[in-house]
Amino acid sequence: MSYTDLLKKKAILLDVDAGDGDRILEVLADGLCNLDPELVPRRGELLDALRERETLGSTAAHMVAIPHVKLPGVKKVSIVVAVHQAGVDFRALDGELVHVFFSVVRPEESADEHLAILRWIADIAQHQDFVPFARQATEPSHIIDLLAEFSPA
Amino acid sequence: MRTNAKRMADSVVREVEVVNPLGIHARPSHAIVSTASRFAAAVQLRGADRVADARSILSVMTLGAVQGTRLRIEAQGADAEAAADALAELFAAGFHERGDS
Repeated sequence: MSYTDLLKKKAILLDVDAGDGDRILEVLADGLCNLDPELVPRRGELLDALRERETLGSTAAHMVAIPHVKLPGVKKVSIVVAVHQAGVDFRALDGELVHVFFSVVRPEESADEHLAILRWIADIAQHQDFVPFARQATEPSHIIDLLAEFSPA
Repeated sequence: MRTNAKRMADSVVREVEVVNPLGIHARPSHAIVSTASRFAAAVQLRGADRVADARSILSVMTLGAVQGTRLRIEAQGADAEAAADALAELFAAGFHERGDS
């Protein structure tokens, strides 16, 4: 099962240049707004929600992070994938810098689908080869292909 | 099957139940991983349809364990007993969330 059909090429941000965790959240919020115009006037709210979720506990492990939020009134799930070559300190409990960010914003009602998407990402992230391959991507389609390849059958 | 039997034989096991109303959401997930990370032991949380690595936040937060879910804590290694006990205590205490929240 793969959720790659939820990912358009413009959802993939390669070579992201953000100096710290808060700056990367801004980049991710911008990326999500680019996917769903209804998020544009709510960018501040989205960013606050992402920040708040990270204060509950870092969503980072195995050099991957999944900052994710639900927003009331949002009509669809949007996913952005960002690759950071140098790595960002995202307060991971395993102490690793994060190189690949998956940010997800979803409607309030879609809890089951949301869990399935997070599980899909978590399972891919546990493959030791995923981050090294992701960092080699030179085009968004490489990331989409990589995700499809690492998805469970 | 032999591999499973060996894993079971080497593991310290605790059966726990998720008692807090919101289940294993953000804060409890973080508490589980922080706690498990204090020990050298490898620890898994085994649910009906999924096994989580208790040291990985991505793994724990996608367990999807709601209130009432029963899980098995399985720990292997030198301090497996202490690790399993510490985690079992967290579950029993409802991650200090039940009642008032």
